[in-house]
Amino acid sequence: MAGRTEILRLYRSSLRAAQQFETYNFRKYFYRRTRDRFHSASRLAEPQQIEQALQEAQAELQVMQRQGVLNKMFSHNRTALEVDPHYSSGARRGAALTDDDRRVEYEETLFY
Amino acid sequence: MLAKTVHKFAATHARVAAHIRLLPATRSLGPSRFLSTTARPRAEAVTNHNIPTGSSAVAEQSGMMPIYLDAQATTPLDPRVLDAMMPYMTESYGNPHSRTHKYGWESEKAVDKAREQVASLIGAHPKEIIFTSGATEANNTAIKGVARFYKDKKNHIITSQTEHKCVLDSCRVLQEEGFEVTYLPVSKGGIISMNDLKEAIRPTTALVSIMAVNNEIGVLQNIKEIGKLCRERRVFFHTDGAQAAGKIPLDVNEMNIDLMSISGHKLYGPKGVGALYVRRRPRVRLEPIITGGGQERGLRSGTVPSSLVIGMGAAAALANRELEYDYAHVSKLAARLISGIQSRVSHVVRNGDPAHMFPGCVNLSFSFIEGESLLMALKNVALSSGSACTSASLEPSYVLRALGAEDDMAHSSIRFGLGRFTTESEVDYVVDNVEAHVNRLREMSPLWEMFQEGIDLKTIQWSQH
Ligand SMILES: Cc1ncc(COP(=O)(O)O)c(C=O)c1O
Repeated sequence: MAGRTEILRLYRSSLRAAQQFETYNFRKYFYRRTRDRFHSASRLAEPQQIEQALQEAQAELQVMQRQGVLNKMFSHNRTALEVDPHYSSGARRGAALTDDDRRVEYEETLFY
Repeated sequence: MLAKTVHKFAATHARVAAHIRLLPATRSLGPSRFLSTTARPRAEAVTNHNIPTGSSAVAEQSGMMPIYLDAQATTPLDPRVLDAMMPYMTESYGNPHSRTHKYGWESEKAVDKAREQVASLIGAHPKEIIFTSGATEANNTAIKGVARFYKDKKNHIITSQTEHKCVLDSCRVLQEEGFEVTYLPVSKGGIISMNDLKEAIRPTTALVSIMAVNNEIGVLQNIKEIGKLCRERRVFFHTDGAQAAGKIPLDVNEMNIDLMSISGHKLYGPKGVGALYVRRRPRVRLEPIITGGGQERGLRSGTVPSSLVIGMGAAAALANRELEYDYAHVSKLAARLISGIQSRVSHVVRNGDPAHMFPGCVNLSFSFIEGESLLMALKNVALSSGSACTSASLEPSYVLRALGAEDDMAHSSIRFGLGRFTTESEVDYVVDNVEAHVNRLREMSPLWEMFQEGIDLKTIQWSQH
């Protein structure tokens, strides 16, 4: 069975992979999905269930990594929300990027 | 004069753009900056192939897209679905019907897996799934197919007034061929009455076709009861599940569904592919519309588009796995949208019966406002006033008319479509924008002014045109 540090590493890689999507809606979805997946997995008790959740997370990570690269190659638009300063949570570049990074760190502290 | 100025402006812009694009290239002539493999941020390794170039660059330069809130028209292709499709769009291009080599076998195996994935989404057997080009073709195949096959004994079809255009039009074609069609009315909430259905069934009824989730108002019919009644009366039951499959739990056996249409691009799969479920026991027989090589059990000839079908399979498997998670997300967003708008804008009515509703489709009527002008004002939000097919016409929606909505309410409706990829911030953005624009448009509306003065608009004699 996977150890604590291994799970934490998988979690961190997954959050970062989610952030690689240029397309706003994909980026936000995969971030939310990853967070929720790990949080609900952390409540599992059966070793078999945990193992299955980890396998799923591992598979999802690989897809996110491939598709994040592909997405970068072809995305070129920003949504109206991202360019509106009132909704900076949707923003991507500059200060908001470090915001996102900070959120990754924060998530990690919440997780354990 | 104006055109000339615009042209000149565009030309200058294009030159500037070209110049900007040139810059990094010139710099890259420097000492192997782009060849170095060390100390380069990973993100730079990717070249974006989709940045507009040439003359279209100017028009698209803003690069800003409205927020997508039109999930009933179509949904984005999920990156996980694309990931499953990629091998079959690149290396594994074999014809799934080629039996003599590995290219064919590989594709066939993947198509079989997709068939299983689609079948398991609706509790069917893989052999009962027929791939089509979409829900439109599936609906046509089911309705025309059953009617024509059984035409010697039966000549009657029952459907409802709020069906999708492709169902209504298939029925109209059959009417021209001599079939009789009953179009059931719906209640104010959009639901058909079981009594009406009971009374409409005749000994000569071949098929009942009632959609599961309506594409304009999101109303969910009582599929299980309709299925039970049809089974008792030995009438085939077809349901258009384009908006329901992958969004709400469906089981063809539990619900006694004999035929069901599904669309790939409504469940985060690719466009141009769909599926028709056709029950084997008791067997439903169809006369095919498309004949030829006999693929898909002879019901739909033509090479199965393996990459699309594999995408649809992946989308179905994903929808199956994510159904509860997505449903909870969409419900939360819908509640946020509705309470946000209703707490900040007065005289808003939600169309459809809230007790029988898929939450991801929110159809609201804003009194004293033209839906079209609100759509125009909300240019930063991609919305529609109803179905995509009728959004070009200014006719009020026939679905809202069937609910008994007054013309003015039907004219003032907007559909908000929420999905897997919609975010909370987007909903907040939309609520803010709706509030601002509705208030502004009402300020300009003479009807609103009269209403404020207490004049009952129903007493006004409008002059005839
Ligand atoms: C209820 C319903 N049926 C059928 C269709 C047609 O589906 P397709 O685009 O796959 O032909 C749609 C969508 O346009 C729909 O909403």
